[in-house]
Amino acid sequence: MKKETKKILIIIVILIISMIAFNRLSILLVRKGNGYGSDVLNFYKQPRDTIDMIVLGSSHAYTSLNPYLIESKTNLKTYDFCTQQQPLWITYYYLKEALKYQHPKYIVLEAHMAVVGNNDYAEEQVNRDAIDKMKFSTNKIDVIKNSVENKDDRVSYYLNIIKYHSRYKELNKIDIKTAFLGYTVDNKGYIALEETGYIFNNESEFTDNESELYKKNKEYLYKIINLTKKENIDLIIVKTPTSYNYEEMSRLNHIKRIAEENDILFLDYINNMTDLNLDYNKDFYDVGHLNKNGSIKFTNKFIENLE
Amino acid sequence: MIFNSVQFFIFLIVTFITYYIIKDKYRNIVLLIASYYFYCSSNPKNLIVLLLVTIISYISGLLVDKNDSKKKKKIIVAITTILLVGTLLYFKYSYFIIQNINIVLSKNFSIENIVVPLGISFFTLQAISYPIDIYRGDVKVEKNILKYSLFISFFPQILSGPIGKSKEMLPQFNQKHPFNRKNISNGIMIVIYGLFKKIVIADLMAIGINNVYGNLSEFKGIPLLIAVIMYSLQIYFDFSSYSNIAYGCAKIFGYELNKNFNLPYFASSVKEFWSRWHMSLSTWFRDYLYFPLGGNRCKKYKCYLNILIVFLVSGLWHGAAWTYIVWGGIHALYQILERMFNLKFNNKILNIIKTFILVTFAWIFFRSNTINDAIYVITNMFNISFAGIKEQILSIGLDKYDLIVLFVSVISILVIEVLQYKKQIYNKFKNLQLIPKLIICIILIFITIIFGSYGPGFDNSQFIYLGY
Repeated sequence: MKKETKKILIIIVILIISMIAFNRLSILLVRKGNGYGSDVLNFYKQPRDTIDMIVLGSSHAYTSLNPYLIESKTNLKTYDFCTQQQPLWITYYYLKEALKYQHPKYIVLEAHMAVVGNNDYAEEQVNRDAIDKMKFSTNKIDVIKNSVENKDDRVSYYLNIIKYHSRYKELNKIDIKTAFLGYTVDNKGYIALEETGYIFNNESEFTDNESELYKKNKEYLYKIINLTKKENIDLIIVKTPTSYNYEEMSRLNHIKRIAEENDILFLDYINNMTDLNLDYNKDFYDVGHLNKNGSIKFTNKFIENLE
Repeated sequence: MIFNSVQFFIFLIVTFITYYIIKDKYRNIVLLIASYYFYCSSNPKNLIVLLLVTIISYISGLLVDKNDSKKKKKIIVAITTILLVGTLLYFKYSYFIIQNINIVLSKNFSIENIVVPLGISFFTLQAISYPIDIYRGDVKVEKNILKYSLFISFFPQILSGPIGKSKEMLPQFNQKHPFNRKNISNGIMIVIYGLFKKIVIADLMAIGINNVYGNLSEFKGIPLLIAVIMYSLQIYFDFSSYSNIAYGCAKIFGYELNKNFNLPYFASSVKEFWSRWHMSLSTWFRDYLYFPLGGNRCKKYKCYLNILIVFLVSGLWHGAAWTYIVWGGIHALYQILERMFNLKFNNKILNIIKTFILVTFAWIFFRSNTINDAIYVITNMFNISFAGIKEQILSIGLDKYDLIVLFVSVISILVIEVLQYKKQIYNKFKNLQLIPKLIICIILIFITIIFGSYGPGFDNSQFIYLGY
């Protein structure tokens, strides 16, 4: 009997070691991203309940709002928890994921994807950037179900080694450091874009007209609003500088109304772009993104408006 | 549902748990339901054909057993054979027959699209042999239709064999199959070994081979030669891996399937190759076609004719295309020549190499889409230039990492098989304690996960023999 118990214990130990090895292997092989967007693994490393402000959204958010500047001027510990072109439904699950570890005073939602999104599903790369490195949980299962259209493809999100196993051919130091030394990109999710000489031409078609949001976007915008209300968190909706056509401006106006109806602070830096004192010849990376200089001006104004 | 799919493993686990938690007397019912579910998962309509074939051979078995007259028994066996061969011909060969009639008679007959039921070539052969076995007194009639249905539809073997012999399989359905840790652990180990061979070796080779055979005009010389040699290995690893998985699955439930491969590329002659390759099919053709034709107990030229008939039929059995018939004909020719002349070297290794070359040459017809493609391969594969050899090798569509993985994996399997050949190493694996077995399985799983060819965008996961 003793011998049998010992055998069972050894088997359990072998299985546990195998599971740990499988987990490390998955992290080793997973694509580490292209440097744009926050490193989800770094977010998990933040000490629990230490972040006061979490910024959610797409690249418009993580290139514009500088968490270091916010923290130095307001003492509010801030984190840009965003990925590129992140659709609103993923943002909702990011919010849920963030609330498992942090209880911030403020959630800042950058509204670009609510304005421009007009599909039920995003491209695979967008999903991969956002979902691949999330910890396995029911929240991850939910985000996969709602983001990946083809059911057969979902299994490679649940077990991302199915997608990335052949990356053994291209492993580099970062992969090894991430898997075995706990390395993560420690930038609070903020990406400072270099000056490119891009000259911004503000061609926004300003209007007072309102237009409905795409159905799935509206559904998840309300989910975000309701969740922050339920958790007693102040939601702030922000629109960073860019150029919108008539339809997009109309949708932005609709978001503004939703914000008003729900007592949400709405900071619209398209209709109020002049307040930012941006130099159109120097402060933009491209039409939708501020560069480092632009983001400093933007973040300063944001702090001012917040106060 | 194919063996190397997530769905199959969920199915296998559910069936395994259900099988062992219920009483022994109901276990055959569990296996029968599971087998029909497995079979229907690809196309439920196929079940009608399977049931039809099962009922025809079951009734035939009863009638052969019941009748005392040898003549009547013979008639029943003949009618059954005609009905079952007719079923196979209708589903698998109608299009091919019409196509050839049109060519010969310059007509334009058409036929509606017939979906070939999966595994029909395999379970029909099993059904044909059953009444014959009763007639010959090799097996007792099985009156329990559930057990008989399970014999025809047993899920590990229904799609691609091994083709079960009634005298070996039917008695097993009457035996008890208690939970046996050793059998189960051995079964799991064999399944994982099969998956390794399929996913790491066969499917990786398939990428290069499919690329070359799919774009033949772009290749000459070394890449063609590599694809030709690689196909010999691919088809072995692909089909033997299927047999491993089938064997392992059956073992998990306490059943022993017959062996399908015995180191075929270690054969010293083509005749020996056929006693080691797809053994369940070779045995079937020997017992139910070659021997009834007279086998080798007849005049020399009649014996050659028998060999020719058996291998032409075997070629046709593999597929409704002239390429398969030519492939069968080449193998017949090899064996006739081996009988006519002493083609053996004094050195065993040279004989093994010679046999491998001959078999590999024949595989060109087996793999090519048309006879013209095969001729293109044969006439161009020796058009060798060593300039830019590295680029030529990589042009088949596999990178240097893939080639290293293939080289190491194939050599590893070769070492294991040589050890099996000389020292029966499989028995040592089977007798290992549970913990070493577990460690071997985990290592194989990890290797397969990392180096295997699977996942989004990969489309070579079908087993080659599922098409036959």
